[in-house]
Amino acid sequence: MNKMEELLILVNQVLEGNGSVAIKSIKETDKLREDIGFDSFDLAELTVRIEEAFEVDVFEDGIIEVISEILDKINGK
Amino acid sequence: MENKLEEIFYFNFKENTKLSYSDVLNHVIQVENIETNYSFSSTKEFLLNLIASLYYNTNITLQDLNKVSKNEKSLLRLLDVNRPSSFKQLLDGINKSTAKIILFTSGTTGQPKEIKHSLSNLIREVRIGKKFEDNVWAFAYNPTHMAGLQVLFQAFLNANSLYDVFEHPKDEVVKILGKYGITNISATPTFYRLLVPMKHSVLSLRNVSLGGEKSDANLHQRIKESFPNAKILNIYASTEAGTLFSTSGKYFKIVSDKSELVKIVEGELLIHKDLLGEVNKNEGNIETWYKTGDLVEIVNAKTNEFIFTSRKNEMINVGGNKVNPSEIEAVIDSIEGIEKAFIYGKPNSILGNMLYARVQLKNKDLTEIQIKRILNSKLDNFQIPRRIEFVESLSLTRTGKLKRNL
Repeated sequence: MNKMEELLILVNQVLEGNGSVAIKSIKETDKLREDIGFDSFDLAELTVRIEEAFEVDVFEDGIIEVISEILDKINGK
Repeated sequence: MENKLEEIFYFNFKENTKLSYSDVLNHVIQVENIETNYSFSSTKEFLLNLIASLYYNTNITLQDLNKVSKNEKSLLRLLDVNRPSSFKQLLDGINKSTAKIILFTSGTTGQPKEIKHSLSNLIREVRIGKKFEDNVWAFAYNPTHMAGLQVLFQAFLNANSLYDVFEHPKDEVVKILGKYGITNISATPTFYRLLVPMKHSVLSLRNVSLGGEKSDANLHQRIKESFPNAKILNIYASTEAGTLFSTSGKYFKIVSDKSELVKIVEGELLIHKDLLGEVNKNEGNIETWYKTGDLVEIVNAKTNEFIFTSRKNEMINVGGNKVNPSEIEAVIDSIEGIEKAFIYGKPNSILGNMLYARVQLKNKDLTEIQIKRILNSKLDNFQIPRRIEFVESLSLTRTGKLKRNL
């Protein structure tokens, strides 16, 4: 499983938990709020799940808005 | 002068154009239409109906108002039919209103507590005058909460425009700040954590305030860089009392007009009942002094300056919302198949604290997502634990209570 697929699972865990429908795919250009529909609580949950899975605090030094920014952090860029 | 409501109204009135009250009010409360799957589109309806309910002297709970907003026969439409003759008359009607606005807050006992506020109590800290007439506000709070009401009345009573940015994507917020020349914004630290740093600074901002949860020097610095012309203010407000203190520095100060009504006993901030909204009789006797549960430390006894340090009780602050863990535990315990739940907060870089649950199951059938879906229909968004961990047993204290400190 690549990083993108792992990330999709985490995004769907947040979506299904808040009563939304799981999505089939994500793109690097997807925006977390506009395209995926996250609010601030969802964003917080996602950062926690990413930290558990990848041991990276994606929010550490700035705001994350797009999927590609998360991938950069996970890949240590 | 696009933002001058009186002028717009007068102009249209003179020209004999038919202008409904919702048109006039709509001019104050504005929502940028955002074509995304997330937008808080009911904010405007909600606020308009709140104003109409005051005009009609209707006691109203904010929860009910949410329903009214979605209803065809809203108070607002009533206001449109029985049209006041001017905006001034509308303001007068609202100022004379004896209607109560009812809010709920987490009680320390675990039962939500009802607090009734008169308009005069709610607008105690509202400043009206020439100095404020060209203010343009961004609305960045949940409108059903105390802080949101404070901003609404500050803007409305000065006939300022108000643009909704609550839970909007960062790009949209930045766009609205620039496009409408926003001068004032009041929000939780969580809101700013998701907004700054920004690529370009916004020069129009003159007043930026933070309230609802603890902020930090780092966040202040980032806000200062994004809004270089703004005065930054910390606000202390509560559902029980409304706005009480504000400060532009590190320290809060008890000002002389409140020195009789506020005191610090054993490090805890106490508020005189005269400053509080009316608490439902069923909630038990309210004593002369209300214990806020907020612990403070006096830094200068001569000038009455103090800082907030922590909370005495077990309330957890989640993105500016106070959550009583016992209240949430009771709801989770009532779910079929669950033996016992334990709720705790863990520091989070976005929300300040995020809610976690440890759950002991009766059988192994329930999943995290199933539990959260059940909770979605029973609790507010901010009250739902975002991570649920299943445990074999929960550790109890000697008296049989759940251990609060992990």
